[in-house]
Amino acid sequence: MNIPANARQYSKQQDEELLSAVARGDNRALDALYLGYHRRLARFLARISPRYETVEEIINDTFMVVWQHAKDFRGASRVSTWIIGIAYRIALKSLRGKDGLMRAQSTDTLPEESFDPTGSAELRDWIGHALNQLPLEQRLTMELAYHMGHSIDEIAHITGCPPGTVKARMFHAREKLRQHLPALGGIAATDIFNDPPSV
Amino acid sequence: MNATNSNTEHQEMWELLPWLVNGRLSDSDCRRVEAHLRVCSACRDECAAQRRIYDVLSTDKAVEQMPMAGLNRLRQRIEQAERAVGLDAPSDPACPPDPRRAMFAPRFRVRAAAVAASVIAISVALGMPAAWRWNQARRASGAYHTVTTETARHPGEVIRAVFAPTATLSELQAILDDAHLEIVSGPTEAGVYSLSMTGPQSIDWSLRRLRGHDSVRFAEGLAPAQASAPPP
Repeated sequence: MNIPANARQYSKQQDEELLSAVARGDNRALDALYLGYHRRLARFLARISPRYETVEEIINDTFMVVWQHAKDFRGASRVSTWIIGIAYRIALKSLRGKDGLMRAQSTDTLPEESFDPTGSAELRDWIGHALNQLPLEQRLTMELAYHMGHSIDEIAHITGCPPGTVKARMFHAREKLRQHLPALGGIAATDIFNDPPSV
Repeated sequence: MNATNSNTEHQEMWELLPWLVNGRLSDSDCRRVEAHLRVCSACRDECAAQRRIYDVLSTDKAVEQMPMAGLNRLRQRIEQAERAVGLDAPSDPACPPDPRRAMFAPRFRVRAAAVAASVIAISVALGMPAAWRWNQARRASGAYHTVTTETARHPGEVIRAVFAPTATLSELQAILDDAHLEIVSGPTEAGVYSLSMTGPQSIDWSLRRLRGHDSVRFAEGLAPAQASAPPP
């Protein structure tokens, strides 16, 4: 099995073949999986942790688990979901123990942001600031849906929660974004949101 | 449809909007949400808002990518773990060896040898007889080393690095010049070079320069105490 020259996405079947090879002890397959997933995981984790060292630590911890437990994979989910689920759990554990990486508290305890929406800041910055105000699980759910493009069931599997919890976290994340964007700049909030649902 | 049912459906459709936006709803749910959007202006507005957020979040963010450096560290970590298990576990004929332990170590050694062969070729071309002798002595000792193994420091050594096997002599020299570094020792049998500073810049600055080159597979600074330790 050849190692891919660069980060590359694999099909479901290729992923399963690679993981089976890893379970048999083929470290070239582990190399291929690592290189295939590094880009996706790095970009996902970089949105949660600004430190590349932390991102790489989480990725390597993830693939240590993949190496050690590939033989335990039973095909109940896609390989990608399984790997990202491992990364998610390691990230949660890692980020909760470190300062300045993620604000996981209730947004009620956070100070008001000082931010000038009329300055040079763009929509990306406004949303980035607002996302930083979200509790960790809500932000990760939004990242898994919008950045990684996962379905409700996939996020449920990755996070180990019922689909209803996934939808609830996303609902609250959207509502909190709505609350925080006005604080960050009324122009952005007006541009993005209209009235919430009357339910 | 009465008001309660309408509100329930509205709530349900509202919750599904993010997955309409990211294209991951089932076909049946997609049809239901789209039908609801035709009659609900609030959900249409929310859908447009979520689409804007999705557009921002789904856009790739520039991230420093060093997959090979990370992969090298993972390989070392696995090899160390496998060796630890191998050293700790007595041979048991009733318990067959883990195939991963049997397969990984020989292959890693082959790869390390390939890397070593290429960097040795570079080192000879660079004219580093001292480094060659040091490397041969290490090789002859038969000891196991990784990049992070504690070994004697060389005067001025602040960084250890591994370069791509395909790196040419001129590329290697250009990288070192760019990072204001010079070789003080190496390569080891694993292809590790010990580097010292040639300019007034910080170690972190040189590390960043090194890591910016595709041909640099690994680059780590030594801890200050280690960096200043005298040679044996």
